[in-house]
Amino acid sequence: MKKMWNHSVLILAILILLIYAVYPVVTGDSYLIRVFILIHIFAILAASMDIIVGYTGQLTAGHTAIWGWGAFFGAWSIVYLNIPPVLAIIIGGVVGALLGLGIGILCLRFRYLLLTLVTFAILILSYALARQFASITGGELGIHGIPVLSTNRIIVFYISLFVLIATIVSLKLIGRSEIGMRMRAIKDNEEGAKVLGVDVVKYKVMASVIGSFFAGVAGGLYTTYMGSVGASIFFLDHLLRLILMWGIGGGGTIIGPALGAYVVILLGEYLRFIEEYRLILLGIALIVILRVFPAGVYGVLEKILSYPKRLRGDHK
Amino acid sequence: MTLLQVEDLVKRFEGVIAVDHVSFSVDESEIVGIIGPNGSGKTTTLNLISKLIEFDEGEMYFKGHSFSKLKAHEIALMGIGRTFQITRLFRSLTVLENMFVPVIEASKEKKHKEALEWLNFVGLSHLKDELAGNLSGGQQKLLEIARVMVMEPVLLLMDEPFAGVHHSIVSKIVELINKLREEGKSFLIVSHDMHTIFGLCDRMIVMNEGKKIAEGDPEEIRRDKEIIRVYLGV
Repeated sequence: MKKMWNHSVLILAILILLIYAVYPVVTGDSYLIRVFILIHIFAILAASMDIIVGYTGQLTAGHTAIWGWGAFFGAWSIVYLNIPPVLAIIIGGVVGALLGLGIGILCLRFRYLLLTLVTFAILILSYALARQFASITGGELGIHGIPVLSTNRIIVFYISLFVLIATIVSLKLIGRSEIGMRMRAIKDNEEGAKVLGVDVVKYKVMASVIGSFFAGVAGGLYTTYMGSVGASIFFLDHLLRLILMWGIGGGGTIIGPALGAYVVILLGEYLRFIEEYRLILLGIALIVILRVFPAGVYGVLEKILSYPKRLRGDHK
Repeated sequence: MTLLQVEDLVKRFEGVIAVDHVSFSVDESEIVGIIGPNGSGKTTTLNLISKLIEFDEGEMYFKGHSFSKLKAHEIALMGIGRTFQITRLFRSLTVLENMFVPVIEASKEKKHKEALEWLNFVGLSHLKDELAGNLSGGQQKLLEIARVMVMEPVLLLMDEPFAGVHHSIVSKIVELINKLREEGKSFLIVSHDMHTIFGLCDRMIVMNEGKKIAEGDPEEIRRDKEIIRVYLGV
């Protein structure tokens, strides 16, 4: 019975995904396609942050810094080395992973709020560096005219959707494996994990490398979609949105923060008329959601989908 | 044969000597108890052996080899298990998932089988899909023991295993310890439960203000005037 129900949910999810995938071809709504591409990029970023924050409990505030450097290195590899944009995305990922390794090792000494402060300092430092070395970063104005993935937005929609699905599937597989279980154990109780032979340092750095790899990929994707990148990629605004996505979507679930990207960006788009009040409204939304539904959008969906199962008393 | 040898262990916390030149040993298949008033350095001693905190001076040997430079997880892998007074469970993981966290070399099937066997042994198999955070205090203690047993430790350091649990669970834990000792495992147990610890241990160590003030078999300790003075303040 339980298996049958799981299959039904899976079929439903695939159906929704199929409708979503054919939507741009059917409607050709270029505005919405652009929004969706941006959502895909942020969803990759939010899901990748979850393996660091939601799984391993490292409260990083530097995830958009890695995203930004992934974007810059992607851009430089195209501009200076004539690398095809698709490869630049992978370069973004590799740079992200290397930064994740460095930051992961650097931050081992820090925990909780101190870790957040140090990683936040990395974001501020990144912004300062990008402004300072304007000759290669373009400063505030940025680098423009970077060859894009494709001028056809529908193709970019599919590429970004593919990368998003690949990211979620990979992160989910890691999360469900023994590695993921140990990461969650570390988040719950570090000492408890240590006395069971878990090398806490290794798993924390591993989470940082994995999460940062996908953040770098999101960066590479961003730069090859926009055709430009500047110091503004390190703006605090992006980090705040990312935190909103993570919280509203439901951290510790990988899919939740990705869903959060849809909620935050779509709300942001449809609330354009209230301009700068959007972030205030989203902030309030986060507080309300965390108060009423601590498990976020994902938790609510999970509850709704498991309702018939609970009605039958078919507990796990 | 000596399994654990602790020599001149010292730990200072900002001027206060928490563990003051403490030496003792635990033999194979032996149950050693550490007793002493609150703040006498018992838990700190266990934390130093399992390297959850670094010691300032001294040397420690396991099966004759120094392990002073090893990290906490390496000590666990070496065969020294640990349970805590306040359980260190992974509350957001299920009971069964908690059993899969220990790092052991085994196939998935074997790990699953052993996890279920141990859960069955401590009487928690019917709760395997429950979140560990939802268990009662006593059940949490049993899960922590079952979880560490998956690693097949040679020596188990237990901090207050009988505190805050129903007497039926106390007898269950005592029964388990005795059974495991018969299988060749050793124990170093910190406890305030005098009745249980005196009945269980082969040898006792008494600590006060960071120092080891007495050592001997339970009968000797019971008769020691210094211990009576420490406990009763007379």
